[in-house]
Amino acid sequence: MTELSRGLHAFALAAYAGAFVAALLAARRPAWRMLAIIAAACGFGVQIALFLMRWRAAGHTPVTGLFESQHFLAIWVVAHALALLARHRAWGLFAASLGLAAAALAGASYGPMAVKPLTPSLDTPLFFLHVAASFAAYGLFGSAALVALLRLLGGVRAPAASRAVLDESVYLGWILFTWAMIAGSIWAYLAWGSYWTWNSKGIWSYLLWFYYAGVIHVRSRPAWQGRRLDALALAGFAAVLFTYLGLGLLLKSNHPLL
Amino acid sequence: MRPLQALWRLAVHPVTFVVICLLWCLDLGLGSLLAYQRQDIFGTMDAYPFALWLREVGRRTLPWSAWVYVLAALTWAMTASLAVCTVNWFWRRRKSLRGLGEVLVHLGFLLIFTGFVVEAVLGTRVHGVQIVEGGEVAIGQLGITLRLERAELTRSPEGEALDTVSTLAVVEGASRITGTSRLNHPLIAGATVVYPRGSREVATRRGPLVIGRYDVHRDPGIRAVLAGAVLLFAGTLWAFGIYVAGSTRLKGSRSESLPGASGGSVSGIMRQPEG
Repeated sequence: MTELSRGLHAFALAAYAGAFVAALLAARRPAWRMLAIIAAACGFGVQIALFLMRWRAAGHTPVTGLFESQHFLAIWVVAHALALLARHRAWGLFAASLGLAAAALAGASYGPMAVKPLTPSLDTPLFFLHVAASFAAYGLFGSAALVALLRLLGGVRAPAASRAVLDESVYLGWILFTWAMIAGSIWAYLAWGSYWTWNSKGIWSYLLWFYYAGVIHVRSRPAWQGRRLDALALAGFAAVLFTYLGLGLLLKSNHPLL
Repeated sequence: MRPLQALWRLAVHPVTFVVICLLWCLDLGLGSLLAYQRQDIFGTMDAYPFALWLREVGRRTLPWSAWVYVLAALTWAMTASLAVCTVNWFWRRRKSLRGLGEVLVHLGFLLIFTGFVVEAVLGTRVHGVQIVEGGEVAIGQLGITLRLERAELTRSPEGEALDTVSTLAVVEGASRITGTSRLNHPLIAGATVVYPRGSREVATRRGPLVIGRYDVHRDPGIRAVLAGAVLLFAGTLWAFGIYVAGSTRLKGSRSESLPGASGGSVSGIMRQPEG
């Protein structure tokens, strides 16, 4: 399974990198668009196949450790980018999302690829609910940050529409993150004795929830539009990356990635 | 009357909540880094109900623990802001159901906060209670006796101990509640919960005997917290439904474009929270 994972991982990474380049070229020559979509769809299909195969081999949802969690994040980022492309023809965001997905998979290359048995404390349905909703939310917060970055770099020709996508990403992301927090808190109560814990991961997860709760309260206030909202979306995703990768890789945490 | 009206408008304004919220995040973020560095002070925060920790540890470790006091003050301020916003919602008697998700989320948060405060002040956490299989221990702080009736070790095919399934009885006066406690499935006896914290086997003349180790918590606020979680889930589910319905309505008439594309624009498809 490790060798198969390595091969499929390399394929998905190459597909996303190729799709990213094609999507960038499509800004000048629309003929590249179809190639970008096909490459992205191939990468996405391979990722789903890898996810299902590892699920079957492990007997549990494969979302533990750096390799699996980065793949899971990339799945959500690309799924959201494809959905927005279909709904809104969001080409700029599509290219940026593929870049983010390729970077996530490049990062995944540093994680152990062997399928490991599940730690007994993770053996609960709440684990799947918590992780799936968390990464779906992270993917949406990532999309919001990419839109904000594109707006700040001046790559947006339709501010109202880009604002709608930023709105959608932050709003849906916060809803999903709320579900992740509810599942995680119930799990923490059943496993460790309290729904609120003072460990770094717990603290930063609550911080993210409150932060985005604040953002959705101001996202349509005239005074908070434009650069201020973009800065909030970017700072929010920086906090997401710190919560997910920074704590898992740099600090001692109860959510280790390596 | 005008200053009062201005004060009310300020209190129910979403930006008031947001400013407090951002300060809360800043304080918690910086505090968490300090907490990580000073485990000797903050490593015990999960061991006690919050009010007890503030009284026993926080007070004597000032100024290091100052961020926790600031956090508590900001949390009260944030909750007050949410509470007046919710009162404002009912006061204005909205007939539309569009804002229902929003008000459910607010009520859910208020209930969770209430439950947290109740636990922080009235809760009890007892750690490391050890009981020999067949034996019992009186826990004076909780006024209960915990009896370990049976303990079974579950092992992996390689023989590695994975978990212990303990059959326990919680005796409180004339009441006796029996059940099992294992990883992720503690014994819940009302507000009293018994968590397994490992076990060991000792050899005796009559064969191996298991000594179980448990944490026993009593959280009188847990019902409020659970009710709040249900409201929070219901509110976000409602908001999600409204969003999906809104997107579907737009589907046939849209011609919007996004970063990097050309075209028209899309109107707001999601409702904004209001104070």
